[in-house]
Amino acid sequence: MIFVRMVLLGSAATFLQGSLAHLGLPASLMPQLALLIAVFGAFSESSVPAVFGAFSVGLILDLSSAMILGPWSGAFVVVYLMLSLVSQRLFIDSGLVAAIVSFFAALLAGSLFAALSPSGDLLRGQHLVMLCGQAVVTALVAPWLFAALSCVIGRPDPASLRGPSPLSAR
Amino acid sequence: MARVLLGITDRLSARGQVVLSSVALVCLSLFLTAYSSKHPGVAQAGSMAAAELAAPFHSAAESLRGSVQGSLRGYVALWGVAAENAKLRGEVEQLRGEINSLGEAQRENARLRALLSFAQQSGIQGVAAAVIGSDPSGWVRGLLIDKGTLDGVALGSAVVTAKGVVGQVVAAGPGSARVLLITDLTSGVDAVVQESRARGVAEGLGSEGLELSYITKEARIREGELVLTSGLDGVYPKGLVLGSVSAISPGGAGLFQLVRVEPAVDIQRVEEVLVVRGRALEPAATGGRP
Repeated sequence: MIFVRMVLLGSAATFLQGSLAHLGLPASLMPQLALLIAVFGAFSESSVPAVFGAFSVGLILDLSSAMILGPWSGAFVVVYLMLSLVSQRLFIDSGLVAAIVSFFAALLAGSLFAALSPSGDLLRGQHLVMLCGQAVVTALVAPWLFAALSCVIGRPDPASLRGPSPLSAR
Repeated sequence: MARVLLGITDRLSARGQVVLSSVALVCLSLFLTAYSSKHPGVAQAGSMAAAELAAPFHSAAESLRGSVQGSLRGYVALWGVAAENAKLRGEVEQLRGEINSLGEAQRENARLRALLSFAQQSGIQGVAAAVIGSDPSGWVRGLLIDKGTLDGVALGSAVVTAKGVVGQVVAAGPGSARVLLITDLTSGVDAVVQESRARGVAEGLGSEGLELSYITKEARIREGELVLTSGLDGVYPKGLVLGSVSAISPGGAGLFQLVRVEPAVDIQRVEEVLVVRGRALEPAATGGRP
């Protein structure tokens, strides 16, 4: 089932991000792995459970900060929706497309998080640099992660966008 | 009503259902954002439940990191003795591994001794805790520690090291707690400059350290002066080091100077902390500027 798989993968991605941060990786070089799970989900299946999956992955990231609930989950749903609407027109097997899509997805998600965050003034100075840095690193990681997910779970199939997906239980 | 809704969703295409559920979930996210910003306890409780689930994995990852680091150091040290025969090399590797482990233990011992000595000298009663995780998103400056309410860690407790202030507990579960660093954008500490006695609020600037706000232009502050906690915010005990003044600028036509403060604690490298006991706050009072 796509929802369960997205939640499990999102939990693992969030844990990995936390471990990378703990190892001293600068925030501006942090790949948004959890976001990439939502992006891969959007290319795998356009369905209501997948939307809930994207929402839940965002909520897991929200919960990992203990500050506020909602900004990441909202941002991930918007990213999922936008990508699932165009996913039939994009060739996700291309590494370049995956990188470009992930770059803009990371920019969009980060901007939405900053806009929804109560601090309000996040999109300035160092945070703008961090947003761009994270988007670039996320874009670089995306083709490799998608290839790995395709090997482990199955290749996204455009024909499956209206039905069961590689992420869904077969 | 439910029948009407089911009828509507039945008539919608698959794509329409996705759009409708996305809009509903975005609305739910906005509601959650508004609600949890007014009721921080909700986010804290949810977060601690998640942290409690993840804490064993974080601890395991931390142990693994220590082992891998020790082994890597052993291998790097062994590059210079490549000419040694296989048996001796194995023995040397084993001994170096042991030495590295002992060295790590010695360094940890020294840090804990410093923490204990600091606690004794300052009269602070606290719980020593190890840092086992960091905020995964990079947007919030936070840490996860391996002690929780069962060890006496309370919501709002100040978290310090022998060098100075680290932050405060914003969520506490039975076996772990989340710490909001003083450098986070939403963090603020009532502070006083040691020599000039000028009072202000040390606000987090993210990775750029701290800014001391509300320091009037009449205050004579010099670079390098220590900035201490005033103890007036009810969170941090008085006299703890926050950092030192690193830059001062007039601040244009405003009433106040712009004072930058370099934190005393290198937060990226902090491994053990002391959680101060006896200053528990209500959930709504934590995590924000005074």
